[in-house]
Amino acid sequence: MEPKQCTKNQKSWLESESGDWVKQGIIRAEQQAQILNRYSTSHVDSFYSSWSSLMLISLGAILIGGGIILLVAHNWESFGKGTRTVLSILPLILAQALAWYSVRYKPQLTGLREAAGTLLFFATAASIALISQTYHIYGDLERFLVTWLVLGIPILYLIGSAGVLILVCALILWLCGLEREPYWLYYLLLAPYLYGLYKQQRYVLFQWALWFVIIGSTFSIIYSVSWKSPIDDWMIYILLALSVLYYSLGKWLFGFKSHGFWGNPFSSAGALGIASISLMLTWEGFYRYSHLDSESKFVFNDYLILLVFAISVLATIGFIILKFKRLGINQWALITSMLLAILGVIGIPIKLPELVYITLTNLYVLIASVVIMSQGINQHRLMLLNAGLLWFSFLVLFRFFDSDIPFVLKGIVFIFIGSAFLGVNIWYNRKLKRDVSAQQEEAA
Amino acid sequence: MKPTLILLVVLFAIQLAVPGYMIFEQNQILAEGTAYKFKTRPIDPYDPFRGRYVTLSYAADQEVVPVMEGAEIESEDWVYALVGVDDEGYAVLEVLTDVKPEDDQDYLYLETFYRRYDGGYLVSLPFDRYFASEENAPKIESAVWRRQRDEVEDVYAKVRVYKGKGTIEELMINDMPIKEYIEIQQEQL
Repeated sequence: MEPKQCTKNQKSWLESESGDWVKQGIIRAEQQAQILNRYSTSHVDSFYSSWSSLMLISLGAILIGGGIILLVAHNWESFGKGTRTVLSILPLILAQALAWYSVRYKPQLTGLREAAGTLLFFATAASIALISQTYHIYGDLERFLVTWLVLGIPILYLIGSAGVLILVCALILWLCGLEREPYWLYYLLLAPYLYGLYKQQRYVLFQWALWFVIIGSTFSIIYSVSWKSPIDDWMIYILLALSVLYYSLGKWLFGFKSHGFWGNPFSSAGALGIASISLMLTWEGFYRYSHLDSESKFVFNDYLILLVFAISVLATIGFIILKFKRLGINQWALITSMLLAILGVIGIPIKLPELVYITLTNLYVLIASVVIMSQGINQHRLMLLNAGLLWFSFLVLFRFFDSDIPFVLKGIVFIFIGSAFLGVNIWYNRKLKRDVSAQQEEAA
Repeated sequence: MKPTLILLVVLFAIQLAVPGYMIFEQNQILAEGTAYKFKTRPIDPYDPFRGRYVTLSYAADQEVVPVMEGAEIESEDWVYALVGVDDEGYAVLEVLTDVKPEDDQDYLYLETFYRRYDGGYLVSLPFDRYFASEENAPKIESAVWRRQRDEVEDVYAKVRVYKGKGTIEELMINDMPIKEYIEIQQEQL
């Protein structure tokens, strides 16, 4: 059986605990060995060793390669076209040779593979750029980046270099900033790689890669919609819906057990998105302009992003139906923000006044943050409590400095909510005391 | 051999084929294309990827190009521009069309910029970069600017045009390649 992957801390904890069990005679020494053999830290170790050597080897390789190019470039003009062409292809051939050597002969050296992949990734771009220079080929940056990307993604799969993943994410982000085209779809090509990491139980690398892809794809989608796009003013609601999708997807894929903040990138990123966007929507000014800009032209990218919105809504509904019984009150608190996203989009056509929408968003943040705080207390989860507290504090801070609300009204609302908190606290303490005394009576 | 290794070889081949095709395409245009003189004025920027180059702003870029009768063209469309020669022997873009011209007619495939009130379009010629060393790029610029103040201006790019594609063969001042011209200037100083 393939041993389960765990961290070094977990393994050493298990070692010391099982050592105690052997001493106490609960299990025998060979049973301890059997148990310990079921857990391995190899992938975690290889991750850290590969990352440290990746940094050093890749940086070294890139600096040397760059230096050589600069030295050659100094005498560039005195070479003939033929020499220049050969020199342009040379970095690519050298990088390919290194990649071949590492995959064919030294597959166990993760650091070498990382370095070879990164180097090959840059060498493809260098060759194209140098050829363009030799022949004065006009600079079409978009076409250059797409070619680089298409030639670069296979490196991720065939050489298995995780460093390339980060570079590919950066490249897609760059492309999305350039053009109003759905280049963010390229992130889909990374999905099999992530799935492979998950299958191989390389969880540490998997988590980091997933964080990169989630953040990269979200920002790429934002960038791909320029101010000229007709759905520009809907983007904030579409992002809110996307955040809810991320949150649900995280719970769906990784289960409802808490994995810590970094352990479940989908849910954590989703929750962050929901909290920050809902806070933005508590301000005036977003909703007022949230209609389709009928003067702008729809392009393919805009339709695709509307499709993302539709998929977010439908998938979240699917999630609720399938996992209805397992949903806790704190999950409901976050998922209901989908209603704010939908209302934001359909609000203007159904003539929902701005005051109503803003009151709703404020009430939503108030209730949801209090629910999360109370769940944090009940479940003894400090992170949940702090997150709720932070969310709540921001709402209070924003409203305190909100110049659109009259002072008297603000004062009354603040006093009212403050008293409610004190009241609930007193009631809760009394209930606790009553419960305790009831238990004592029962025991007596 | 393992499938990964075979795929790796395929990837290597494609990675080499891309610059390889670029070289082939350029050589084909240079060998088989017709030479035109595009009147120009260079300015010197800096490209972090590809080093120093001189941006060429063409006289033909500033002219409004009329649209051929019956052709449907909008801003930012890719169109065919028929290339001709004016009385002084410089290249001009004669007319824009959305139908691919016959092979005996020289044309460039390019993007329209924006529409003018008379229905014609401003276009930008794609071959607007001339790469030079970090030493020579500023010299090219200053040489040309000085010329244009003092003497008759005769700066042009010798461009080969072949099946819609154009590529710069040489940048010329007074019918002399720019590098020779700069060398002579250096000697005179």
